[in-house]
Amino acid sequence: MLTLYSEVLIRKLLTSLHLEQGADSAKFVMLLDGLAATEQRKVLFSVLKLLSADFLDRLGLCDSDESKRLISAVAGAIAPIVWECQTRRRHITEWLTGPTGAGLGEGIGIRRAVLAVVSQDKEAVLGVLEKSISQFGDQLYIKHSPILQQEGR
Amino acid sequence: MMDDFLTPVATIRSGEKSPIKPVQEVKQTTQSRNPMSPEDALKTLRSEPEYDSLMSVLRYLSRSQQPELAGFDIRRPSPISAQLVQVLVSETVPNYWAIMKEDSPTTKHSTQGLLLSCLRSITGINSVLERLRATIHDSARNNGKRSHLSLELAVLLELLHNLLKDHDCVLGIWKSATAGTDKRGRLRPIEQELLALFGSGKIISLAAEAETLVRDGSSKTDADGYWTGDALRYTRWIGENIVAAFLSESASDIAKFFSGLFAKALGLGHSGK
Repeated sequence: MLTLYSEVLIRKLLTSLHLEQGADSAKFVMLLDGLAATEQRKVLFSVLKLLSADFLDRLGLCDSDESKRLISAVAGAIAPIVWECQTRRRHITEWLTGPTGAGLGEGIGIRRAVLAVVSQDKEAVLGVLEKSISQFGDQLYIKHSPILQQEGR
Repeated sequence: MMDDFLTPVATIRSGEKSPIKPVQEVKQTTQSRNPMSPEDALKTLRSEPEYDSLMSVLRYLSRSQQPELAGFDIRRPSPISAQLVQVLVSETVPNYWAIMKEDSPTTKHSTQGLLLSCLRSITGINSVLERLRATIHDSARNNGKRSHLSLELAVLLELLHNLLKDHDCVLGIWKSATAGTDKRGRLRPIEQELLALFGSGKIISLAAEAETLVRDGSSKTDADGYWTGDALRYTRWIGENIVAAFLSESASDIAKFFSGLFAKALGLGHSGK
């Protein structure tokens, strides 16, 4: 889904328009707003992937103070780009629970960060929990989903 | 005895120098004539002008970009600007590029800088690409005269590289192409053209092909300095251009177009080769 070129491009824009010191995130939001819905989704998921790869992948499973700090920093980076937009909030909720699981295969760190963002919205987090619980009860899901995704819940 | 022998030689040398001076003086007297209209400029360009009159034509053409001068802008599409661009690319560039390079560095007001500002437009870049395509074709057909053609390819690549190198290049071209078009309907075709030019693999694939031929044709390779044929570096360049556009003060006007360019550029790995 993410070619070398699109990764370079997205990382460049994410860094210069959003993450960098002094960057104005409104510019990155503007960039996303200009995209068609399907592209927005694609870019948003790529952003999560890049954030995970660049900041969270080496955390592993154990819970340290450093991991808490990093995860909340990443959550802080995700929040402003999805917050104002209903569609993008729906996209990240779906990223967490979707059966085809765009978030599937990503580390636990990024899942925790995304959940932290989603949890700002009571209704959304209820949706995530409901979906997750129903998946837990589903024998088929338990047998066939990667253990990593299950641990994330 | 040795001294006697050397003196006459020195005399002959000073005698050789004198015939050159009058020629230079002639050049300077022809220079004073400035073009009166775009048509006039076209006529001058077509008649293999002296370097100095070329300079005044270029100065005239780039000065006409200021709005107070009759509304003619070589960077806006019109029959006459198309002809001017065509002559600049197919005659002026091959004949004068090397002299221009020696003459002065590429500052805004050097001859080369003036030429570049005349060609930094959709029409200009497209016609450089067209010329590249034609020359690649020729070079593939007759292997005999290769060195001459690969020299021309090298010049065209250098030109293309110089046209595109700044990070506000796309924004600048967008601005000059859309200046004065407030209607959405007029804007769309222009933006489509820009997307097709910068968002596709067109520049990359032509430049890459030309670079290969240049490398094959000559032993010394300054082709490493070019990035236009390197998809990864081109992608970075597009990224820089999008960033520059969003950081500019006109961000809200250009957001839609540059988001579109971003979306198109995301497919860069797939198009091309």
